[in-house]
Amino acid sequence: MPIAFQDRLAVFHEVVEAIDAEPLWAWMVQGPAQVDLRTCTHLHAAVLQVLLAARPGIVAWPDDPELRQWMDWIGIPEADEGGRIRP
Amino acid sequence: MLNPLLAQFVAEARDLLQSANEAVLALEQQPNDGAAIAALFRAVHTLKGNAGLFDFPRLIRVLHTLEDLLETARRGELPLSPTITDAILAALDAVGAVVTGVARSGTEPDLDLEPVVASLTEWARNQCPPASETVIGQDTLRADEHVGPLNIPESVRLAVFREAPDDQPLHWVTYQPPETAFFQGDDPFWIARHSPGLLWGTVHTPNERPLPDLFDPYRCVLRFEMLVAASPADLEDHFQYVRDQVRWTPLNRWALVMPSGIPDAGAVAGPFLVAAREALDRKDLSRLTQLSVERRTQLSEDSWQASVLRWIEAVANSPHPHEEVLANLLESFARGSVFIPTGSPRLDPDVPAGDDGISTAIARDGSPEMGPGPTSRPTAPGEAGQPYASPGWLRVDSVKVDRLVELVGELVVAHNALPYLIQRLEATPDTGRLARAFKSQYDLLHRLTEALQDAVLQLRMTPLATIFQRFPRLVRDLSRRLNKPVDFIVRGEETEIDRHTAEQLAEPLVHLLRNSLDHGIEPPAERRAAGKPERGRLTLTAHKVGDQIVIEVADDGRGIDPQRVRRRALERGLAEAEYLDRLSDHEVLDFIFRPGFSTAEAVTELSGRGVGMDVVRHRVEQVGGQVTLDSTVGAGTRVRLALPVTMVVQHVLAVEAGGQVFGIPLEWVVETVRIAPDRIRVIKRQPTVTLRGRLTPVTALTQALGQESTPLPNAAGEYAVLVVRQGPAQVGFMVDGFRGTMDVIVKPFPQWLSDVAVYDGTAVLGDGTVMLVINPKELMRCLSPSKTG
Repeated sequence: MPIAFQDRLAVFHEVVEAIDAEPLWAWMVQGPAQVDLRTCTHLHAAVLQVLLAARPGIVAWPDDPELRQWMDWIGIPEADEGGRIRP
Repeated sequence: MLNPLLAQFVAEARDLLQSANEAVLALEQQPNDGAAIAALFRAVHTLKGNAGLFDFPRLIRVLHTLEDLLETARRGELPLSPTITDAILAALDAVGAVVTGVARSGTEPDLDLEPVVASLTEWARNQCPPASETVIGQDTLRADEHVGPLNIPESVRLAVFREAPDDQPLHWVTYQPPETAFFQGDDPFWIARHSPGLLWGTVHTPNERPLPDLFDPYRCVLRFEMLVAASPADLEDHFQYVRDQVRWTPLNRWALVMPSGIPDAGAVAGPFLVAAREALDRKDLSRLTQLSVERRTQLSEDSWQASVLRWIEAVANSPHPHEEVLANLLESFARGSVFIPTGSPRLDPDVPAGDDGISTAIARDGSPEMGPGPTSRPTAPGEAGQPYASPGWLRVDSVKVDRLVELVGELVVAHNALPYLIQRLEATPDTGRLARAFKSQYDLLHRLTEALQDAVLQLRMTPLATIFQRFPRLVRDLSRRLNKPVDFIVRGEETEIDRHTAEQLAEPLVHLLRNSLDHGIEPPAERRAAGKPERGRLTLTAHKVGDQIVIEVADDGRGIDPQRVRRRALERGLAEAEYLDRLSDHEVLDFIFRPGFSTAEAVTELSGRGVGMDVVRHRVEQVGGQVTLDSTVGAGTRVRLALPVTMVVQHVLAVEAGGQVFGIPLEWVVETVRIAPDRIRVIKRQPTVTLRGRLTPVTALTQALGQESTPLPNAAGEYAVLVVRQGPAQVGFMVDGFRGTMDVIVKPFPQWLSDVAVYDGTAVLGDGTVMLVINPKELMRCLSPSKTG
């Protein structure tokens, strides 16, 4: 499973595919959410737009330098108040 | 600098293009969406009208053809298939390219728009799409892409400038996957990440935060922007499967040279500049670098000046240091204002990127030059001292200003609560001194709040010139078409008014000016016969009266014949003959503002656009103003718009009636009087009182509002009467008492109560009481016409 959900923390592993976008969004809207990207090497654009829409708190950045670089360029914010959805 | 009229055109055109693009996108979702077609048509129509003020024949031709096509679609004769919307988007892109060109040079760029026109014409004829490619080349940027590399953080631009390989051209790439991209099996992020020669990239999503229920993770809303060092062949190869979703433009590396940051007012240039200029003259670039590094250590890193110095160092140490760029940077440092480069235009697709000419890196508005090549021009020398980004000016998102205005309004209301508390303190034994202390503190707070509010409201003020400027040309064109020579006199265009109000005024004013030319001013022969000068006279004046702005449109034309107005009102069934005869000539003119009234015998091309004087009045009232009209047969007509300077806080007179507090907007109140019961006489079963020689019907406010209670007289047996006027009508409302004037923020009723038209909304007072704010116009409408004489 590319995403392991642990309470309010989603841990991404390696390549997170489009198919994970919907359950991820459904999980995100339930409350404050945090994401651990450390071992993630790529996330599908559908998953990326879920992250951009839900703005969860990122508790760990990808080890993959290129992906980490993109996260910086895009300006995905670091975990603050645990992340939350503000509709 | 563009003249203000052109600048306005460009800004409006960009907004209109934005709306048009949104409407097209909505149409792609719902091809039969009538509202979207109407919105699209409106945007194109307005844009065409605006463009008509200038000499832009090619632009008009595209817009005209597009309008024809949309007209067909609007009539339902042309289903809007995705291929047609492609053609429409291509046309909008072409228009965007022209607007970008206009923004840069002030003239219509020399673009070949014929393929676009041809494609639209084919579609309008309801034939097959033309085989040829209608997009006018990949160098054409969409309106929303003009920001370009300015988005790139300075550190990235610096690094790219220093380190990007010389052998590969830089390209600015935008990649907009379709909403269905994910279903087509694409992973746009993967494609973007693996772009050849990627130096920087980002992704944009729609700004608004999605509602949890409405967000669809599988509807792709991403748009990627990348800076790459790669040849077009490599890009073609990489993006071959999504070729139609990607555009790229060659980018000269000098376009990256763009200081950023906050100007540090304390950073005096002085000796550094002298030494640096000297070093540059001697072409001693290592000395220049050294001076720059030394100077920079004394500056804050995020200051504008430090940024300029970083660029000086980068340019001086690049393989092809360009002295002119360095001189410009130094100049920019000296003036603390934006870097105005000179030299040949850059980013021309036909000029190989990477050559070491100098880019016109920044246009006046801070946008990098990225448009279609053949039209690029160097920044005109006259543009140099007017940079938007100079320290004297801030460009602030109007949403932020609106938020600030709203907050200050709330602050005013919150501070209004204090006098109530002080009153209570004063009423409590033993706290008199405390009350006085509070009072003096309150006075200070009051002054500060007022000053703050004033300052914040000033942020949103704009001179009327911004809307007046377009009128001379309009009047000139109309007067030619109608063969009615006129002298058009504009005064008071420096008068400042709230930006929102100004925006709302443009259309009504155009209508009034058109009316004057069309119906008011006579043809020269008729004027001569009437003993008037052949040239008509049309004046547009604005001035400030108290806290109102008064705008007048006056002509010396034939005036409005009250008898004709009576006849027309009768024909249209707007009133009964008996009532019309009772009205004075002046009062009867007010019928011109009634919906369904039009004095023009025929709907003319000029004035007859379905916008009548009723719309003028409605628009003006929407921004809290009032319209009145004076006319003398044979001598002319004068229309007067009285507008509040600002819109946020409303001045109301608070009155008590039936145990409730009501607010009446002060601009409607003529006077407040106390009247002994014996002064009220019943005329035709209507209680009436004579006020200043004028018969004024009086009625209890509670009754007018459909409530039971009757007004209470004061100890002397007098009734408090509030006299309200709308146009010629004047009515007295009896209330229990007056509570003085105050500033309140009126909150509209929620949607489900919004048909309660007699109230504008509610306001919470300092003591927590909820005040109902009355809409006097609606209130007077509730009374029968016979009472409002």
